[in-house]
Amino acid sequence: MTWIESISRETATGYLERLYRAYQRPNRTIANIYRAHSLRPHTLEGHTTLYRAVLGHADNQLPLWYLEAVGLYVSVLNQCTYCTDHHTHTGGLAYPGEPEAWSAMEDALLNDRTDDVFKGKELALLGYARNLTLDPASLTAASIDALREAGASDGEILEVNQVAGYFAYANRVVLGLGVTLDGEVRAEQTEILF
Amino acid sequence: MPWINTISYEDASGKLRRLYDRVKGPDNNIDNIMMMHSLRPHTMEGHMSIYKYVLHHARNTLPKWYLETIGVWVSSLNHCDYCVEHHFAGLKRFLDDDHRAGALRAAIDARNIDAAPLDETQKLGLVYAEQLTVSPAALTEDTVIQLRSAGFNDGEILEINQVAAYFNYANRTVLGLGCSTAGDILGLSPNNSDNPDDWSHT
Repeated sequence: MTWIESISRETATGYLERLYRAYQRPNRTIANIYRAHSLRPHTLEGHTTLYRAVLGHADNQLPLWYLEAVGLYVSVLNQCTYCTDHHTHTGGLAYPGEPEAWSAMEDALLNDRTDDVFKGKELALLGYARNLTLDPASLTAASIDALREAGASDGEILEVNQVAGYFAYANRVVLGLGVTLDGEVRAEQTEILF
Repeated sequence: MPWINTISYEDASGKLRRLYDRVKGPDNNIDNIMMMHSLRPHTMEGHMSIYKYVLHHARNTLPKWYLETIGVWVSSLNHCDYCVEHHFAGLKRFLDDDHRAGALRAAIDARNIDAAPLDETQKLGLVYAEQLTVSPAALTEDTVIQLRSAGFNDGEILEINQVAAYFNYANRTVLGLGCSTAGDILGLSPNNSDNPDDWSHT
């Protein structure tokens, strides 16, 4: 499940038990990525606070499914199988249109061929997330101007920056601690949490 | 000048002003990296929470100067000068040994961790942080086994993982939005580790 020791929901006590209760799924399971934090529970609180702010917050203006697509794309580029699996699934749950349309987007993201289905602002912001992931120091003011020309507002650019930045963190929690999908249960729903 | 619009302390109102009041330093100084969040204040809340918990929390056991060293190292590998300068100033303050801090910085700048004034275990922690930053998918369980046999316990390995991963987020907030040190006071931090809700920069 992880390369370092971790504490199960059944054996957790005190602060960790309280956090597990707050962050468990409706079916009372704990995501393996959360369990990886169990030796330092306060880091789980930091992680979930950032996660909920960048992805599940009602004050974001881009739709949740698009933010999920950005997270999925970053996870693919970082070769993070755990996050790719989860966000393929949750992106599909969040997408309000036809399932076939999400499947086509999913294929494009998984194969790093975003221009197969995305256009305009959505395509440009995915390109930004790609550069931010693979070569962040290569970005310039002109990169941001190009996003504006494609129709993105400054607040939307910030939203994509934050989701891509968060996944740079989360992918490294998984890849650096050996978090696997063993025993993992998939989310049954996706939601705006705040 | 940042590449996206930001809102100054003086012009801020509502939730943004309340958050600025929580994080501000001397003379209402707000670090530029926090101002990057001003169009979506809730993301500042997320950022401050993770920053405070991975770097300035009483439940971390590795010394703060070492956690800052990891931060400077990761930021240097990502070419994030803003974070290098801020966190090197913090490192220097916590280490309270300018000569040793200078030698650490020189080793980081030269990408030569072998030359750093660190013991072999501490150096191995930096090697892990480098792999995690540069090619995270190439890591295997062997690396964690090596860290353990060098003397780190699993909780300490997690602390190193968290700081290195956090800086991969923070560096991208800076590099992706054009954040500069202009007007900042270098090295202030939410340093009161005993209170996780105290975000003021001193």
